[in-house]
Amino acid sequence: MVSANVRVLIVCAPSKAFGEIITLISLAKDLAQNGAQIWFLASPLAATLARQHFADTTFEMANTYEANQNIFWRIAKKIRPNVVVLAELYELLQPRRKPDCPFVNADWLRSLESLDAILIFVDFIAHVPALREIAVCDSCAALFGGGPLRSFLRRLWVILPCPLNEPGAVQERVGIPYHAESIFATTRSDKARLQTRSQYLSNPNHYLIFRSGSTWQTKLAESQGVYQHQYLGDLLAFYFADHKQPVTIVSVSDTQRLHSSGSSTVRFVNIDNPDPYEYERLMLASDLILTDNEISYGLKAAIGSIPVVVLVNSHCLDDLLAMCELPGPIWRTMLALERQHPGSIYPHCIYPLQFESAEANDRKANASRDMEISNINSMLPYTNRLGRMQSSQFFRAELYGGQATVDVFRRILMDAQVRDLWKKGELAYMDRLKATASGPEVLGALLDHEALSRHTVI
Amino acid sequence: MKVAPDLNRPVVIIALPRSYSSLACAMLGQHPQLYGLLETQIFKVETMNEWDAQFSDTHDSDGLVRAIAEIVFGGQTRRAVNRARAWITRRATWSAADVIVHLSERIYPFIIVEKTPFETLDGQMTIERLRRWCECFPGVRFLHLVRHPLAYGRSHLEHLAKMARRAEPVRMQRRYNQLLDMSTEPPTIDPQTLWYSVHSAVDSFLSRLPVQQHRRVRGEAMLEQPMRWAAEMAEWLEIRTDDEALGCMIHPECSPFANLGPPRARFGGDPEFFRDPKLRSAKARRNTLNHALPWRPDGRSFTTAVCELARSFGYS
Repeated sequence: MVSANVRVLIVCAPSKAFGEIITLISLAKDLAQNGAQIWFLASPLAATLARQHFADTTFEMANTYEANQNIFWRIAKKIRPNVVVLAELYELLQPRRKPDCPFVNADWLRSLESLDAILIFVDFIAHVPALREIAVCDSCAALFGGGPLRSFLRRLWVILPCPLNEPGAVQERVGIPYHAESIFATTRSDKARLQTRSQYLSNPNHYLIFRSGSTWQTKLAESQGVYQHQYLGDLLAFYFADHKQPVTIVSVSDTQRLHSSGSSTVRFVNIDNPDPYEYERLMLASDLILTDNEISYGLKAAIGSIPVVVLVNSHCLDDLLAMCELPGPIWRTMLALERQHPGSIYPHCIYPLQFESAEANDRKANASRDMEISNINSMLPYTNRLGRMQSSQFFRAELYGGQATVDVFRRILMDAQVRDLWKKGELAYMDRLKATASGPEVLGALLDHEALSRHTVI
Repeated sequence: MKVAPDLNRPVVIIALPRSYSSLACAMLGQHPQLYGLLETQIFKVETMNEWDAQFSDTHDSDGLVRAIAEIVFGGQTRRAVNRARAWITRRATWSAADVIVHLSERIYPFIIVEKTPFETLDGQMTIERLRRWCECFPGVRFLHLVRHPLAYGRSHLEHLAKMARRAEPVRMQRRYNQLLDMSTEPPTIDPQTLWYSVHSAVDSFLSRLPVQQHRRVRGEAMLEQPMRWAAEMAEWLEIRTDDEALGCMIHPECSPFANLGPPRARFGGDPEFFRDPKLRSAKARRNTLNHALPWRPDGRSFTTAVCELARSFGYS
């Protein structure tokens, strides 16, 4: 465990997504409860959330390397941190990208050699293999000063937040899985659940579907000229049309509004992102959760409580059109999307990111199998993947899957056998999760030099 | 004039020269939630144009230059200092308030602590400076740091005598002018004049502010019991009062400003403090108010007004 004299500086640069900061706040709260002192250096968006818990110790990043590094060193000089936690290293992974809050460059890596602190990287989606590749590529490493980059990566311990990563052992994976202490404290009070449901449903036995759409996804999609979310309402209206009980879909998003263009039995309620507490409350009051982000961090509290379905697309347009038996609502939606912007339909499991080449083939094979095999076991979550996409506890449903997707939703909501199987899988996952250390235990071990060297990036 | 957000509540040390303000500022600035600056001279003027004209060619500019080098350019190197000077020049159209608000926003949520000494016989000018702080930062907290008039007078004159060996005569003339007792012919150099003028103006201004917004402290008490003083300050400022936070405060030497700066920005505060910034707690020498003043050839002692004001500060 960490002790009272541990001073932790957490750097969270992502400026459009909430997941990283939510995960880091959870880690920070666990550390603070164990006596550690916490400081945040965060993007404006992340700082807004961090300030809700660490008002006096949250510093906001600016939009230049120099300003952000100055703030970092000002804090470091003042508080002399013994642990520095980094959330993302996109500057290293995508050097051509222009981040909103740039931070890591050769100068900073060089200056870091004078900092006597343990460096920790929170690896959300298996970035370590790519970082290792950069370290062994001379021309890539040279962009970051060569030696200073390697020395940084040699010092950089990797920790893996769960549930996002597989809590059990995974061959060849680098990093120490840990769980948030609060994850086991997530309880569903029946009274609170009923109260929340009554806000959206006229009858508590109707179905309440929670749907989450991230701001970063919308912004990225719009920058690419694709507007899938404008048509999502039509697709969902089709998939949930024939359920025994009426369905209300509460879509939580600051940037996306779902609606159905035709008459529909499905009711849509669009709300902006509430505070994290309300978000969780609403999520846990629902019967099913929908996302189009396979590695959504915000939905992790649902693990073990509510089934989550991730909407993916494993096919290109030609294949999808060939698979459609009759021109119907899905066919019409696909054509409308393509008319608006040719190329809008492509394989993805974290919308709007496209599958990458080698992985795409693998995904496509798996997805085809999902579509073709009616055995329910094929819908159960993958939990042991290793690579760019780590692991997901979520069910998968094809966005343009037609009747197969209708069946997926129907079975998850109504088939007792499927729900039992799902629950069993979740309980097994929770058991593996309980076997991991907590964040304060992992940091405590690192400070005591107990951890093994194989958990640094190189 | 730019007005800072309510959350930003700087701490301003109001003191005469030679009243431990460098030490107090560095001690406060070492608290994990505070950030001590040097002597910025910021509210002695309205605009940066005036600031530039009045201070940029003198050591009085060093404090702000070093602060900008550290905060905006990441360190007090020769290059950062040059960039800081250019930064100030480019902001000639800014008001002084714009600059201090900018700095406070840059270091937020650290709270700034500022300490430019007050050294004018003109009570209105003293009040005007305080008013500018209040206007710019409605939540500002004032720490009125006082020293026994006898100890202050001795120290100030000794310091000026040392300075006179190397400083320009015009500058020295200006400083001695602030100490003149004009009731004699010829005028007598007597620091009690400045002591009274500044402290009475400050006292009258602060008495109109809410009690929580100001605190008077005797410098001698700070030196005698630094930990106790640190705890009282932290409690008043509603910041962390744990042992670790208070422990940081008794290490003023760890401040990034507790040393001489690079060329073109060497000072910004008391050179003697820069040369030896460590805190040494010490029992204050016993001073009395009914003493013939050692610096006056006519053997006079403190005026009744000075004695009354000093007594109201807890001196005897």
